[in-house]
Amino acid sequence: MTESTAPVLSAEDLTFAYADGDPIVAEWTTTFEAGTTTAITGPSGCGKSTLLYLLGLMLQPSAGHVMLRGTPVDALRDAERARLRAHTFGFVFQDAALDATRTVLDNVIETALYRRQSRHEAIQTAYELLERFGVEIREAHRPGQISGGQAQRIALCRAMLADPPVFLADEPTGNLDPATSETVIQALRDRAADGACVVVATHDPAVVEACDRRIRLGAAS
Amino acid sequence: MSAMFVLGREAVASARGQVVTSVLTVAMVAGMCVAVLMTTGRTAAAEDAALAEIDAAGTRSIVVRADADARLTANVIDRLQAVTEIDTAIGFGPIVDARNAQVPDGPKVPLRNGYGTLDGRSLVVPDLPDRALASTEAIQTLGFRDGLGALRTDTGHELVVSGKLEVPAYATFLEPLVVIPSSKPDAPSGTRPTDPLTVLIVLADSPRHVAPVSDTVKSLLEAADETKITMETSQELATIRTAIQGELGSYGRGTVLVILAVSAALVAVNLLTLVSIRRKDFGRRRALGATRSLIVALLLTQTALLAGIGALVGVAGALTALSVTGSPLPGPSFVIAVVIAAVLTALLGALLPAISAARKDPLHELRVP
Repeated sequence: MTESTAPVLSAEDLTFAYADGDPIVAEWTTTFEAGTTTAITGPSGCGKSTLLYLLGLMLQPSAGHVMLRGTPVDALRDAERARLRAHTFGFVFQDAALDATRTVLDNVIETALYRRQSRHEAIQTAYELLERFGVEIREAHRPGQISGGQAQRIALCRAMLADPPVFLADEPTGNLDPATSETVIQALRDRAADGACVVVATHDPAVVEACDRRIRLGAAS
Repeated sequence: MSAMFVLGREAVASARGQVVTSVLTVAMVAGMCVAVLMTTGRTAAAEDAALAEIDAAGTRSIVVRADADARLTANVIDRLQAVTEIDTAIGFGPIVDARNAQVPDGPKVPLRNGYGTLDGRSLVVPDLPDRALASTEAIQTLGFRDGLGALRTDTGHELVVSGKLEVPAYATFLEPLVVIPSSKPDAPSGTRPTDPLTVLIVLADSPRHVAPVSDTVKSLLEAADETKITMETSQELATIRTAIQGELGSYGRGTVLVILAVSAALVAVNLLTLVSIRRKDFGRRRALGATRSLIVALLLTQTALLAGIGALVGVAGALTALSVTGSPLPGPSFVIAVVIAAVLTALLGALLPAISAARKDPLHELRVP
């Protein structure tokens, strides 16, 4: 498969086990295309988050490969994997994972530092994103001064700052009310409509319903 | 925009976000500087003052006195100046009394022929016969206005005082000093190499070379009549000087090492606590694309900035305290060395916590149970 026709993200015989444990992900193979949303579902402990972290190069598989446009990237040096995380992936974590000591704006532009992106340019994009998600008036606040829903929307802004081709979200609506969940779901669909590959680990039926594709993991995938 | 500037700005923002840790780091480094300056710094300043006093007494000098007929002659100066361990050699001929030519019954001053270099000033004035150089004390004794005037010796010879001499501490016993300089630049003994010397001052280039230089001087005096020569060396002062320097130096080094080690440990504990409390933040940074080297650089830059502030605060406080208590102040080079040592010590203490922060596992730190 050539690089141009290869799926943007794929897993080949992906296996992962925590130390001294049975594999939580076993010989797992699939592809993720650009412009699609994929929901990964399954019971708690089945390995949804682990799979997401493997795909996002935060974990190294025990066996098998993660490939970006057909090129294996899981065995790259740590610095190279970090560079890919900064440039190619957008992450949304279950609890937003904002820096409580910095302002909302600082949180949104955090990844610009890791990409060596111009701060001025990042701030311009951040304002646009904050306005789009209705949290622009919170830009000078700190995470402790905003609601959980606002925090999750700010985490979305941070993930979208670099317009990454791959978007990974771990339970992005886990702590949100239905209305805020709908905003987040729409944002994920918009990302896919813009050409990104969106993969979401979720329990939320609304998210599952909104995704183009569903992958259900068993007790041990 | 340079990567260093971006890193520095992020480090400042991080430091501002971690107020307790930042204040503790500044306080620890400031305390380190105060401790070093108030102990070793004060000792070093006292040592410098003591050594300066000893040096003023002439720790490096060897003084030879000779009768006019002892066969100690001016050409020995030329030979001594070729010895590498000798900083300078100066010779003076027999005394002839002289007075202000305008005041025949005025006070007398001793007039001597001079050879060599006195405190950096060559005692050579070519092609100007009948000229003399006088010290401030001699000029005052003679009552010359503006430092210039005419001298008449008891033998009726007249000279003009045309310049002033600064007399260093090791030659003050010659005061009031009036010198007739030699006249040939390529050899201090000039046109009078066989003229007798009654005083010879030899300055070794360091106190520890006083003994070998003394031996060299003795060997060059073999042609002279030993019974008419006396030699005084500053060997005892040089020994005392070396002892003071060695004793205080070793005490200071030991104290500084203990203070630096304790400070490095405190900074390390402080930052390890920070890394432990904020492990989720470091995990998030890693997950979002920060390289390990960036995390290390960020924490080290943050520590360097805080340590720099702490060092300046500590130095300012310690110098103020020393001034207020009337204690001797350490020199600028010592203070700069303390600032540099403080920052380097803090960086050393921060290295382990920084590496620990860089190795935070994103998955472990970010997963919600």
